[in-house]
Amino acid sequence: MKRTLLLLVAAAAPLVAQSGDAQGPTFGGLGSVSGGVTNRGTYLAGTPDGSYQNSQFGLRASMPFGDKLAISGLVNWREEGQQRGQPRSDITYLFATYRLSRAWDLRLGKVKHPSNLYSEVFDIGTLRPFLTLPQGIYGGTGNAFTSYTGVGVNGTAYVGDWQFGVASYLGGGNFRYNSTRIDLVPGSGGDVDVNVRTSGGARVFVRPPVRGLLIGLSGLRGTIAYCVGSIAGPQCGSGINGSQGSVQLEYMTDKLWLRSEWAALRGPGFINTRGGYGQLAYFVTRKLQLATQYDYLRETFDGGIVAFDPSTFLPPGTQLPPGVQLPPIPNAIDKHSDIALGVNWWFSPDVVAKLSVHSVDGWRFARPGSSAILGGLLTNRFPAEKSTLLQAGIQFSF
Amino acid sequence: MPRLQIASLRPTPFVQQLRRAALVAAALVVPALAQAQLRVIVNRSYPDTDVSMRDLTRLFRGEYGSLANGQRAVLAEQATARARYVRTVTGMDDDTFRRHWIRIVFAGAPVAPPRGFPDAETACAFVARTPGALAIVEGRCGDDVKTLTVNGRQGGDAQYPLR
Repeated sequence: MKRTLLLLVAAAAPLVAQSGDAQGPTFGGLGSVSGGVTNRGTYLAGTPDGSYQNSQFGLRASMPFGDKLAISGLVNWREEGQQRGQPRSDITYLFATYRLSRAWDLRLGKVKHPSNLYSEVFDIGTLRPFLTLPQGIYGGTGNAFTSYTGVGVNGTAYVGDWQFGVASYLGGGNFRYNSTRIDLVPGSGGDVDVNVRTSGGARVFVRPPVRGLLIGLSGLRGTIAYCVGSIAGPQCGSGINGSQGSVQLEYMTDKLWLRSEWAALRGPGFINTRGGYGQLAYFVTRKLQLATQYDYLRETFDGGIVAFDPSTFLPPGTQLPPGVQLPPIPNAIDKHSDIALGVNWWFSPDVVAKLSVHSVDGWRFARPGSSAILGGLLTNRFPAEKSTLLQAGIQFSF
Repeated sequence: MPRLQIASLRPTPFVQQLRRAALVAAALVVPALAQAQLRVIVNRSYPDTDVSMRDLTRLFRGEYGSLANGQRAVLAEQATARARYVRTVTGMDDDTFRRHWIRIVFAGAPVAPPRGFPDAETACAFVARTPGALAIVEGRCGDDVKTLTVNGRQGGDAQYPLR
C-alpha cells in the first residue's frame, strides 16, 4: 500500500515540476475517531464494556495531466476494534478520468460506485449527520457497493433549469457481506466474500429548479459468486444472477438536510434484502446541528450455507438429548431497525464532533454474540431483541 | 431662567431618535457603497471576453471542469470576497459551498475547488501566470489579466449580475 502511494507520488513528481503550480497535484485527507457503549451486544462503535478502538484515516491525491486527463486515488486505514480487531488498509479508489466534454467524462480503473447517495463518499464523516451511515443500506448488506473495477461514463445534461445526471459503468467488484447469521456458522470468520462479476449498472438523477432537491434512481445486474468459510472448508456458490436497485431523495439547504433512500437486492439462491432510511438534520446555529434518523433492513435467505437448519450452527460433536428438537431461531436474527437522535458541533465544515443515541430492534447488526444465540437454541431463552447504543466521536476532512 | 433656556436647546427625544437612525443608516450604507465590484478575471490566453452567469455557476459548483474553449478550468478566489461571490454565483452559503466541494473532490471528480488568495493582488498575479485560470475578485486587476463581462454586462452596469 505504502509502496503504491510512493510510486504514484514519484511518478507524478517530474510532471509537477514541468507543469507549474496550477497543474500540480492536489491532496486531501479524512479521519474519524469514535467510541461507544451499548446496554447489550455489539453495534457500530459500541460494546457493553465500551469500545474506543474505532478509527480511520484516509489520504486522497489527484493529479491532472494536461487539459483532459487526471488520475485520482484514495487510500484508507481502518481500525475497527469491536469486531475485527485487526487494522486494515485498502485502496478505496484509483482511476483515470478522461474528459469527453465540459460535463462528461470517461473513468477507468477502480472507481467509486455511483449507486447511492453516499456510495461515492462512503468514508467522509463531514458529509453526514451521524458517525456512521444508515446500516439498513450501507451496513454490508449488498445494497451499497463501494467501488467497481471497470470503465464508466459520468455526465450531466441541462434542459433549461433542470439538471440531469448519469453515471453508468461496466465492470465488477467485491463486497464483504457480514451478518449475525454468518457469525453463527462455525469457522466462517463472520464474513462472506462476495464477488460480483460482469456487472453493469447506472444511476440517473434529476435536479429540478428547486435548489438542493435531487431525485435519483439506480440499478445494476451482475453475476454473483460467494465463499464463506466453515469447519468443513469453504462453502461457495456461483452463477447467481443478482440485481439491485434503489431510489433516492435528497433536499439540502444551508440549514436543513433531508435524505431518504430505499434499496433492494435480489440474489436467487443466496439472499434477498430490502432496506431504507430517512434522515433529517437541522442547523440550529452555524455550529450546532440536531439530527434524527430511522433505518431498517429485512433479509430473507434463499439457500446456501446461511439458510442451514439451526442444528448446523452448533459446534461439531454437540449431542442433543433424545427427543429434543431445537427451537427455531427468532426472526430477530435477520431483522434490523434503528431510531437515532444526534447532536453535532461543527467547529468548521471540515471538523465535527458528534454524539448520538440509537434504539435498535433486531440482531442483524446489533449482535448479541454467537454464544448467546447458540445458548438460546439449547435453553430456548434467547437474548433480548432490543438494545441501545450511545456513541461519540470526531470526524474531519481536509 | 438660564436652566430653562438650556433645556429648550436640547433636542427632543424624537429628534434624538432621528439622529440615531441616520447614524445607523449611514453605518450600513457607506460600507455597502464602498464595497468593491466583484469581477471575473481570466488568463489573457483565454480567447472570449464574456462568460454567462449560468456557466459561472456550473464552474463554481464543479459541474463543468473546463472553460468554454476546452482548457482545464483552474478556479481561484479572493478569500475576503468569498462569502459575497459564493452566495451570488452558487446560491449557497460559505459552509454549504465548502461541504459541496468536499463531496466533489472525495468522489474523485476531476475538478478542484477554487484556490484561495488573501487579496486581489495575489489572485490577479496567479491568474496572470496560469493558463485556464479564472478567478472572482473584488476591484480591479492590472492589464496582465483579462476582465470578462458577465451576460454581456460590464462591472459598472446596473444589470451586471455580480452585484
